[in-house]
Amino acid sequence: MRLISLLVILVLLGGCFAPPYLYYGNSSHSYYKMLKKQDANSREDYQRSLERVFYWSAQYGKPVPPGLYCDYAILMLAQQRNDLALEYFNKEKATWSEAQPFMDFLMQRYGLRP
Amino acid sequence: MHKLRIFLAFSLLAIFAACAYQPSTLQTTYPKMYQNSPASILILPPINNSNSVEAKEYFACSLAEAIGMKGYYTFPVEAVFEVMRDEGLYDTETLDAAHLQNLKKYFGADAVLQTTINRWDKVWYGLAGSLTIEVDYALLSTSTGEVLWDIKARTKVNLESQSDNLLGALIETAIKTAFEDYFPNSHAANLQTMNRSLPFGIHHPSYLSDATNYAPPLKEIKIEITK
Repeated sequence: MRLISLLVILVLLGGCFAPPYLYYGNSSHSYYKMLKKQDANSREDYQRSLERVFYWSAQYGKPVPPGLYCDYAILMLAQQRNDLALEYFNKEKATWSEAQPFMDFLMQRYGLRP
Repeated sequence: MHKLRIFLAFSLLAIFAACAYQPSTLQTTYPKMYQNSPASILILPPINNSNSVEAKEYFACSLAEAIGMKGYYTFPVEAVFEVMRDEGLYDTETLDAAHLQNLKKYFGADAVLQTTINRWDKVWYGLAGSLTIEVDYALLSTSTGEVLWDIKARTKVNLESQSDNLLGALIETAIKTAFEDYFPNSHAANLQTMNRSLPFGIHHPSYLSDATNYAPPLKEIKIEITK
C-alpha cells in the first residue's frame, strides 16, 4: 500500500516537474564571467561550458539553445580557426531556421563563405 | 438590528471584493501573443536609468536563457551588440517604425525586447542589507510596432546575518552586501519573470497550453530572495 502511494506521489510530482525544454548548463554564468574578466582563462571556461552544453544536449536529445553555436563560432574566429567557425555558424542555421539571415550576414562580415 | 447591519456590511464588502479581484489569464492579458506569436526575439541593449554603468551589459546577458527556455529563438547577444555598436545603434533608445523595420531587415527578427533598468543598487544599513533590481520589459512587433507583451519586475534580495553576536552580524552583513553579485540574482529574477508572465513560444512543446494560466495582476511581479 505504501509503495503504491509512493509511486502515485512520484507520478504526480513527475507531471509537475517536466524536464526543461533546453539544457543551458552553466553557460550563462560562464558568459557573464568572460564579459566581466575579459581574460584568456574566462574565455577558455566559456568555450568549455559551451562544449558541455553541446554534449549534454545531444545526450538528452534536445536542440542546442539558440545563439550558443554562434557564440562558439565567434570564439573560434578569435583563435583563427575559421573552418570551425564556419561549421558552427552553419550549425546555428541548421538548428534554428530563424537564424539564417543573421548567420549569413555574420559569415559575410567575417569573410567566410556561407 | 445591530448584528444585521454588521452582517449586511460584511456581505457588501465581500461582493465588492469579488468584483474588484478578477484574475485575468495570459491570453486575455496578452492576446497578441496568441494571435500572431513571434518566433524570434532580438534582445536590444537595455536602457539604463540606474546609477550603475555596468548594469546595461550585465543585465542583457542574463536575459537570453530565460527567453530561450520559453520557446523563442533569441539572437546571440554578443554578435548582435557588436553589429549594433558598429552601426551606431547601441545607445539608441527610441524605436520608431523605420528603426523596427531595419531590425527586421538586418536580423530577420519578428519582435524586439526592450528593457529599461530603473534600479540596480545595493543598500547596507547596519544589521540588514539589500540588493534591488527594477526592470520594465516590453516586446514589440517589428512588423506593426505594437506592444505584444509587457511586464514590470521588482527583485529585492535581502542580505542578512545568521550570527547572534551584534558586532559579528554587523561585519557579516556589510561583507555580504559588498560582495553580493548582481548577475546570479538578475539571472534568477529573469527566469522567474518569464516563467510567470511570458507565454510559451512556438518552439516549446507546451506552446498554447498556457492560455488559461493566470497572468500577474497589474502586469507586475515582485520577487523576494533572502540570503
